[in-house]
Amino acid sequence: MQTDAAWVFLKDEVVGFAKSRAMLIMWIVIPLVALAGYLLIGGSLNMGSGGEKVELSATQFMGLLVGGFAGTVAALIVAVDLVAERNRNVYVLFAVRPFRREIIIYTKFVAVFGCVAGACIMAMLIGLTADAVRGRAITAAVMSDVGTSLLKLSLTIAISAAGGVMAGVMARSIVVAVLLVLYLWQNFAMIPNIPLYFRVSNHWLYTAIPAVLIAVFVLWGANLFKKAQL
Amino acid sequence: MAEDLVQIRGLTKTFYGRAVLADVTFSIRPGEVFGYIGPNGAGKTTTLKILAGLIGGYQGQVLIGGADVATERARAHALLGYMPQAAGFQQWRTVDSALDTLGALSGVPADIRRKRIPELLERFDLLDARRKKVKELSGGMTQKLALVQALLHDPKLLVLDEPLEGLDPPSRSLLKTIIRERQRAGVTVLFSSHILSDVQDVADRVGILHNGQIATKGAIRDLLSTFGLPVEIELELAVAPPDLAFVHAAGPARELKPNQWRIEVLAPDADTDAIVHTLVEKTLAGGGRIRKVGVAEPELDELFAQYLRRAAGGQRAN
Repeated sequence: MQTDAAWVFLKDEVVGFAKSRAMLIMWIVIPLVALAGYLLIGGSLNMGSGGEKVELSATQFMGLLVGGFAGTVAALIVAVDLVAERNRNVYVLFAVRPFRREIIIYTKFVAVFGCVAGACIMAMLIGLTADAVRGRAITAAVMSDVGTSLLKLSLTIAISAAGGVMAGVMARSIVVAVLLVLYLWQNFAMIPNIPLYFRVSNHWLYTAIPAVLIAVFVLWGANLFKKAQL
Repeated sequence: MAEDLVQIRGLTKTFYGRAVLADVTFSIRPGEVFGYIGPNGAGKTTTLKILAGLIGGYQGQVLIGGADVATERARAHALLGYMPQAAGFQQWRTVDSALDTLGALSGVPADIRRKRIPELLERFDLLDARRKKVKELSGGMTQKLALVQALLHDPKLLVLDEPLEGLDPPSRSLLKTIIRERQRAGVTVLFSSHILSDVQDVADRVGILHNGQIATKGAIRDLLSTFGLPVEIELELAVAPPDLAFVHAAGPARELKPNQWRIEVLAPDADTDAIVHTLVEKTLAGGGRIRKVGVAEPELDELFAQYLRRAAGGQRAN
């Protein structure tokens, strides 16, 4: 019964999020705008301290762009959705049915993570396609970079969504939930990128810490939701 | 005798140090319709939410079919159909999708859902709205949808929090019919309402909650006599005789509208039949014509008002 309930919920949440306005923007608008932006800047950005131009592939450009906001979007989607649905008494009708209430939280987290990560993968694939069309060689090194970027991006999205769960469960109003996401929980989303910012070499540590934090946040949020008075 | 389906024993709930419910105890037999009434803020919704497992952290014991709501939630929930005071649905869902998911979560097999959902929607005149998004429904339609979801899995116990609120008269009448039908099918119904005439129409017993305590409970007829509400005779004349002194001689008479009175029978052992007979006789003798005459049953509204007056008097005395 619990497995059935989790499956029913997961299916519904994925469909619900995938068709939401926020996700439609992530699916379609962002990759197209990013691609257009890349073509406009001509494949290079002023990034160095001396203002020198750095050549970027379309894949790298897409990764930078979606990596910049995918986590925040995931956190906001989860937090706002949880608060709004709770305030509309949506969970009351779920909570009076014979299954574990925490399943609502687990499936919401998985659905948002899946949808946002899926949108990011799609953006990267568009970048790869654009690079291939423009004659850039898709070498093993490029694919390795893409893989590493996706892993970091996935961790960022997951830890952000987990923070969104905490904000959504703790807050009673959307404004408070948004503030909690932006000024508290989003700080944790930097952890997977610490090696990049500070040129630290032990990547495994900065992969393990977010993984543990994700589990802690989601389980903690689910437990709070289980005890919440609906 | 069958075990009570709902047993609430010594239920006490405090919010921020204030007791919302204090030692509430009552039980409901299988197949019984129990009306739960009380003024605003008395704790009705809190009781029903605790029964539905939505609020924890209380003292006392709440059992549904022998399953403790606090510790055997799933077993209790399998027996329960709950309609909250203000039901919400995920805005992106269609009526069909909302009901299908809620039915699946209640363990209703897909083939039965496919059959039962349209049947129930048709019963509530919602079949045309089946493919509509929930957010496009009116308040009354959402209320009906909330009722449909409570009936989906054919529960043994229906807990309805203010189910008649926001419904138009035909829907209210339909809901009362459905409550009676469910009762005949052996379903136990616990519902709260402010519309006491509706409670009187369908409830076998009522419980009056006041200041977080069950003030009184029992069959409506028994409560009416317990409260010692005065027996009244209603007299309506089509043509009034010139001298109406006999009306006032029968007892203190209130004129409800021209040529219509309610006469209070003061003596507890008075022969009301004899008084009715005298009224008829004198009206006809005076050349009048009678439209209606008889003993007026006290209404639940009056009982409730009487109870509140007494409670207020008691509080002042204290």
